[in-house]
Amino acid sequence: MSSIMNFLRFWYNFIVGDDRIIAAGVVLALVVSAVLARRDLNAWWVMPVAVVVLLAVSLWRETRTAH
Amino acid sequence: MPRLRKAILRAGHYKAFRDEEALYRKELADARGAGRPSRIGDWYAFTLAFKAVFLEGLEVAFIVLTFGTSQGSIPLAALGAGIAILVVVAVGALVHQPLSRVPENTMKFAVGLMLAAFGIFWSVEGTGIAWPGADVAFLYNLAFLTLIAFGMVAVLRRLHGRREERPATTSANIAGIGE
Repeated sequence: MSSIMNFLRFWYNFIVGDDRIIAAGVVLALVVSAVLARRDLNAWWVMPVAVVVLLAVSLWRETRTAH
Repeated sequence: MPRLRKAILRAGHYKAFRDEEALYRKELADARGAGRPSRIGDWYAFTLAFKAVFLEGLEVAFIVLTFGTSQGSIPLAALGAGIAILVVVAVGALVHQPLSRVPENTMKFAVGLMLAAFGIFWSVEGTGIAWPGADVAFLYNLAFLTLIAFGMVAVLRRLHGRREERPATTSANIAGIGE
């Protein structure tokens, strides 16, 4: 049982990592990019902007909780 | 992105640096305490070498197949991988020093930037969007991310510095010095 949990934990850490907000934000940015692409909008800027915003939010949260 | 996040936190003094020298000494002690080589050979060394070569070899195979298939020339991608292996072996033989000498924290920062830039570039391409400037977009994404990351490190260092100063100011106020 513990080996299965370790296996699942490995994949969770590999895909999601330390911050769930970053993982969810990246998925959301991808969906927004894909939807805009379907509407013939060249929204290449969505992902870089999302990465910067998500990084800033994640770091800000980390600094608030750090002692 | 998690890698880049950690690297920024380390550089901004919000996460402890890994002591590579201590880790190397621990690994060395573990390897020396693993027992003597048997008649068949040194299984500990064999397993360590096999794991490393298998993992890295598999990674190289995936990269060769991905790049080779997308560019329509697997032999060319395989040749590139072969040359890379020769270069790594030659550098390893010439330098012949433990990996702890490599500035790992700096290297991780660079790797985090590269991975994030590749991730942005390929994920956007995957949605069917064309980058302005085609493949050059990777370079300006990397430059943009580098600037942002250095900016974030500077902000974190400033915040950390202020946080470090705060207890001193408070105790000075308690003692009546700060009034």
